[in-house]
Amino acid sequence: MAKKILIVDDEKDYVRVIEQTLTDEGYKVITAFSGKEALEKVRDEAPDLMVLDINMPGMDGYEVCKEIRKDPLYKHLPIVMLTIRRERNDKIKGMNLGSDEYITKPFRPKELLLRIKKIFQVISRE
Amino acid sequence: MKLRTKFVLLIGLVIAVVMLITSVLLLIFEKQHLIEETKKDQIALVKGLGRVSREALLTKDYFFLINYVKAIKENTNTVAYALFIDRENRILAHTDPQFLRQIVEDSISIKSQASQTLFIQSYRMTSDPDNPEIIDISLPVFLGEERKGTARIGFSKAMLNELIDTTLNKTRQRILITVLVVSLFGLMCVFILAHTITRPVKILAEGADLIGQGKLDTKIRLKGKDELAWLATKFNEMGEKLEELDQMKRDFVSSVTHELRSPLGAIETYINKMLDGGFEGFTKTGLEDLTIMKNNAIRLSRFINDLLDVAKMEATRMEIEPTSLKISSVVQDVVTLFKLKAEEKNINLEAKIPSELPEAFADSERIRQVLINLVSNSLKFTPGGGSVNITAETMKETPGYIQIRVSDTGMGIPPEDLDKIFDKFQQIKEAREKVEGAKGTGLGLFIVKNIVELHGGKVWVRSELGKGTTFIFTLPTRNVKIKNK
Repeated sequence: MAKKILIVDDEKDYVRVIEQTLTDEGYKVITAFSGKEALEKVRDEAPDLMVLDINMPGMDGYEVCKEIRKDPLYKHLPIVMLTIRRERNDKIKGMNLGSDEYITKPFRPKELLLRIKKIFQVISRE
Repeated sequence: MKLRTKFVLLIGLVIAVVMLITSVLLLIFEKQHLIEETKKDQIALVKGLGRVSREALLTKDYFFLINYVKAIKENTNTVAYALFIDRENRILAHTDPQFLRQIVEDSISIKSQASQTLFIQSYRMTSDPDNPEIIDISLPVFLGEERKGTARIGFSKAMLNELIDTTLNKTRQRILITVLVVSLFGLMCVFILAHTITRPVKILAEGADLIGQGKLDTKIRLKGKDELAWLATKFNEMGEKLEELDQMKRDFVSSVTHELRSPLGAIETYINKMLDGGFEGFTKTGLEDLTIMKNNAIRLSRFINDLLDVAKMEATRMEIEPTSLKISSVVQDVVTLFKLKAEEKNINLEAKIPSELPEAFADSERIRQVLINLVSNSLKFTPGGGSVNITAETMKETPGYIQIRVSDTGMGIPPEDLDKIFDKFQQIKEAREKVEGAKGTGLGLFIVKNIVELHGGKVWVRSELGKGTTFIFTLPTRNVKIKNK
C-alpha cells in the first residue's frame, strides 16, 4: 500500500514542488499550511511520514515536532525538517527535538526523495 | 571616596562642630553663673554678720559675736578673715583672737569705715604669704540713724578660684560624658542613614550596570515612594524600551532575512527540480514551474524595492514629484491591475470616483503605489463573496483636500492593534495565520503612511472585527509646503 506523507509548509510554492516530487514516486500526499493544521492532519489522517517546515506564523515547526514527540500514538512518526534555517544551532535544535532528517532550503527535490526512501528502508528492515 | 564615607564624614564633622560650640558656650555660661552665685553668697554672708553685729551692739554681748565670727571661718573655707570694727576703729570681734581690741589704721580699713554702703575692695595681703589676694567686703552697721561700726569679711581669691574650678571641673566631666554619648548615638544614626541612602543607590548602580551590559530584562527592585524608587522605575522602563527596540531590530533582521531567502530558495529549488527532471519533466510541468519562478522573482524584487523605499524614508531622502493628478485615472489603473485576482477570489472590486472631484496635487507613481498596497491588502484579508470598494470625495471640514477610501468586508483589525499597523513588520499574528498564500512583507502600510505624509496628507483606519476595514487618506488639491519630518 502506498505510504502517506504529510507536507507542512506555509509557502504554497514549496508545498507544490514537494507534492509533485512525492506524487510522481507514487506516494500519497496530504498537505497542511500551518502548525495547527499539521497537528490536526496527523491525528485525523495518521500519515507515515511528515515533511515539516520550521518558519511558520503561529505555531512553528519546532513546536509541532515537540507536540508530536509527546503524543504516545505518534511519537515514532518520522519527521523530515525542511527549512530555510541553515545555521548549525537551528539544525542541532531540530535534531534534538527528534527530527529524523534536517534538509535546508533551497534543496534538490531528488535528494529529499532519496532521504525519505532511506527512512522507509530503515523502518522496514527493523 | 565612597558616597557612604563622604556622608559619614560630613555629618560626623557637623556633629563634632555643634558639640564643640555647645560645650564651650556651656562652660562659659556656667563659669559666669558660678561667679555670680559666689558673689551673692559672699554678700549674704557679710549681711548676716552685719545683722549679728547689730544684735551684739544692742545686747552688748560681744562674746556671741566673737563665736559667730569663728563659726563663719570654720564653715566657709573661702573666708580668710571676718571682723567687726566699732566706730572708734577698735576690733570688737575677729577670727584671729590676737587682733581683738586693737585699733585698725590700714588704708583698706579706713576706706571701708568711710563707706556708707556695702563696699567691695580687693588687695594683696602682705603679711600672709599663703593667701595673698583678698576680696574684702564691708557693710556699715547702724543702730537707728547712728553708725555704730563696720562688719567685714575677707575672702581668699585663691580659695574662691579653687572652688569655682572644682565645680567647673565637675561640669566639664558631665559635658564630656554627654558629648561622648551623643556623638556615639549620632554616629550610629549617621551610619544607619548613610546605609539607607547608599544602599538603594548601590542597587540602582548595579542594575544600571546590568542594563548597560545588555541584560535588558533586568528589573531593579526598590520599594518605597521616594525619588530613588522613582528613579528605579524609570530605569526599568528604560530597560523595557531598550528591549523593545532590540526586539524590533531582531524582528527586522529576521523578517528581512526570511523575505529574501524564501523566494530565492523557491527559485533555486524549482531550478534544481527542472535540471533533475530533464526534458521529460519539463514537458510535464515546466511552464508551470517557470511561472512560479517568475512570481518568486517578482516577489523578491518587489520586496527589495519596498526595502529601498523604506530606507529612503528613514533617511528622509525620498523625493516626490507632485503634479496635478486625476485620481480617477490612477484608481482605474489599479482596479484593472487587480481585476483578475479579485475575480479569482470571487471578490467584487469596484471604484466610484465622482466626476466633479478636483484634481489632486500628487506624484502619480507614488499614489499608485499607495493604492496598490491598500487594495492588495484588502483583497488579501477579504474572504470570497466579499467586496472591496474605492471611493473619493472632497473634504468639507478641511478645504483644499480630497479624501480617498479603500474599504473591504474582510476580517477587521483588533482595536488594540490599530495603532501599530502602520509600523514596519507589524503585520499582526492572526492575520498572518489566517491568510493563505503569499504573505505581505510587513512594509506596505509603513510605505503608505510615509508617502501620504510626504504629500502633506494624513492616513488613518477604521475597522470592526469580522465586518471590515476602511483605510482613509487625504491629499491636497494644490501645492502645499510640506514640512519635512
